[in-house]
Amino acid sequence: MLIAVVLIVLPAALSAQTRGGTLIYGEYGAPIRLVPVLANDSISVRLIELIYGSLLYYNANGEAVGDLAESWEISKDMKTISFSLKKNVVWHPVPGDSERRPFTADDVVKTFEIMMHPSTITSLQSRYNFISSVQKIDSSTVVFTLKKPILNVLGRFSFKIMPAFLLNNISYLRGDEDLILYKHPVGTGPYMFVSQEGSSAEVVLEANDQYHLGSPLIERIIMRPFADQNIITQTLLYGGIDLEVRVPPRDISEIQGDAQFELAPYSTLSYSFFGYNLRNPVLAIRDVRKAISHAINRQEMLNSFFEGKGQLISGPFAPGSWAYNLDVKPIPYSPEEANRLLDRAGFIERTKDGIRVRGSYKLQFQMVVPISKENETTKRVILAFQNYLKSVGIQIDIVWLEWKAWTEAVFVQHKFDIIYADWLFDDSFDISSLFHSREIGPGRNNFGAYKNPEVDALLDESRSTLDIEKKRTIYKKLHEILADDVPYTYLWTLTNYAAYNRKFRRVEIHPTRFFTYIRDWYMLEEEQR
Amino acid sequence: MMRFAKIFFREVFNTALLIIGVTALLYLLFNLMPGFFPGKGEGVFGYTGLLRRLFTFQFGTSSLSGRDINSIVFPAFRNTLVLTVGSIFLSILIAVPIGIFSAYRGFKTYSWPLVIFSYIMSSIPVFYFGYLVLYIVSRYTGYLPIYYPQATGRGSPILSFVLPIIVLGFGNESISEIVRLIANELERVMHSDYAIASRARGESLLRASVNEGIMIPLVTIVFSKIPFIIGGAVIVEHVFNWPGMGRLAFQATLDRDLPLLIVIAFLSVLCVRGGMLLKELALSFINPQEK
Repeated sequence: MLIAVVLIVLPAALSAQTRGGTLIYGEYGAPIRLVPVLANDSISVRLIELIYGSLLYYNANGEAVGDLAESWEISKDMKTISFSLKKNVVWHPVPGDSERRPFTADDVVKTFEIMMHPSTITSLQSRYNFISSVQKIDSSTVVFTLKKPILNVLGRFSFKIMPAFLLNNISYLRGDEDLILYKHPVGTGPYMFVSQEGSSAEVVLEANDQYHLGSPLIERIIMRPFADQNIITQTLLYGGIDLEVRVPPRDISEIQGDAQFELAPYSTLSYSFFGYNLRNPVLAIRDVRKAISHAINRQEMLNSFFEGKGQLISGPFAPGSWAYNLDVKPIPYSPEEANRLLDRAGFIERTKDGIRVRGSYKLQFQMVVPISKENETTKRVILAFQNYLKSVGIQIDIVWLEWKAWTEAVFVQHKFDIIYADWLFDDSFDISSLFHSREIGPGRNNFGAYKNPEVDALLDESRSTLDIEKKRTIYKKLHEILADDVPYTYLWTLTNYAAYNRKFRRVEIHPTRFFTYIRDWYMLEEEQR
Repeated sequence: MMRFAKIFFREVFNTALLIIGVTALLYLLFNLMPGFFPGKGEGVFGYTGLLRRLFTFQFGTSSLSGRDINSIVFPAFRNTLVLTVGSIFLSILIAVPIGIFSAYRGFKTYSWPLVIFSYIMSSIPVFYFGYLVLYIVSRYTGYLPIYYPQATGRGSPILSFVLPIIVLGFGNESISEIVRLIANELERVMHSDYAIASRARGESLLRASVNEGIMIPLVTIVFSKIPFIIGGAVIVEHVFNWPGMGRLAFQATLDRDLPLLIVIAFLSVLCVRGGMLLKELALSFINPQEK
């Protein structure tokens, strides 16, 4: 037994991890801002994961792992959490300064204060307003005091820490300040920022030789932005890049056929849906919304537009999570049922182009769609949606809007009937911001003005309990109601695929943060070009 | 010399007027749009501040990424310049001989395949042609000839550098126009009295008609094509991942990076009017009689 273990371990140890080599990875688009508090685009977030460190992170098994925090302690009443920080951590060098400064409790306090300052422009504040204060005890201890205990509280402490000594006179960030940090990110992560090319925004990173968990093995990482999605996979196949962060579904089979490359699936942790504006008196009729859900063939759309790389869902929770109710089935494709429901709702007469009407009400809706970067598949989904509904007598007019105009129209002015969009699954499964009637209003997330007293009561109850079993029963009930009420037509959660060259060994990808395990990746010496 | 100076100052004056018009309009429009840029909402002072920054080439920082606009825009401008100038030269190199040949021969046995070829090249959409070239070249050479910055180059740098220029040279739609105009003009000039007279004196026919028959149409077309070539470059920049102005402008529009957009508009105006200035100067050099 022991020998067998040794035999297995030995070759692995012999071909040991060699240092060196360059990893070039390709992204569709350029990073917007390499500043932890301000960034909310996934390209910047992936780079920030390489450059910056956080107190702790959740690994793929859902366990909290310390990064900058050595250990932590949650008080009995679950209202204070104290972190003791690692003492051997140093910041990346600042240009024009040879000394590397130590990481201290001040950095944590400063980052948190900037993040929570009302003038800071960030999407993170609502995640952290359950924390009432943060306090530095000594240079390696910080204590967070909570307003109220919440579930999965440690998951929230994965925000990235910025260096306080570069933010001396700053109390908030709006993005237009003249800061070194904007041009030259300085973090504690495994890779140090070297340069960003002007016109292409290509970013070069170098291994941090004083990384507190041991210097990473790959020496350089280069992020190459692409303007055209069609050529990224080709560039990978011809060796121009080593890793493609997100392979377009239709390129997957091409990569599968090539033994030199490996596909790595990771969940998107988000779901797509059609959301309805219940301010429209016709869409306020549940049978109409249900009929729309019956009229579309979601499995077929998933298969033909996403090569079946995903899973249909029946409610707003991550499938496979404890909150998901497996007894609720996705609404099946059935045009007959859709027609029956529409007849029952009184839309029996038809205009001469076949659109159903009832008195002065016509089944004609305006769908607003943002012109996003991925608009090729988006366009197909929407056109299919339009066609499915046409066959049951509903007309959809599509309006394309630029992103900011779209958010304005949907969240502020509520000038829309239907949207096609995605939400991220919340890590503590808190969906009250989406469906609670308190959240109706300009700038709030309940854009469709969905209102159901029963749902409100359940959501309030779930917020006040910390007992996971009780929460589970509440969520299963919520799932059932929200599936039956159809404020959204829930579509699917997709699986993303990264593709990489096999000369990189021990590649592991974190579902949300991607490069968390980069420290272990390596390539053999003879394969380093 | 006086004449050149006069043209020069007239063009510079026009350019200045145009820039003031364009930036004033943009300033007005951007004030009505959501989004931030320095000087917004400060009325006349904001606008003069904007002009001062533009004319001193101190462009400030991008509102989106916080990066220095000068360090973004100038490399991109250089890249686009290489692409467009290279492609214009290539177009001329291909089109002028075809034009001369067909003027000599008329639209006959030997010249018509060339003329048809030039028409076909000009009518293929440049993005399609780009993908086609990418596909063929990468299949046969094993390299994907897209743009790689020098520091991180893999594959064949020369191929990556030359191919986009070739594609834009064929695809910028100026080949067929140059061919047609030169063929027509040269034929007309060759049959004009002075050309026949010089031929009778035993001089070269081509030499006598080169200015009026070739240079004038060429200069007129090439310089008036500059805005369109910059437009065509956007697509080539996309296909070959070439980090130029077109791609930058496209991205800045999507991101609503207003400070960057103003700078790009300013540089485009400079570019187009600069082309016009060169055209006027070149024409008055070729044909001193022209008013």
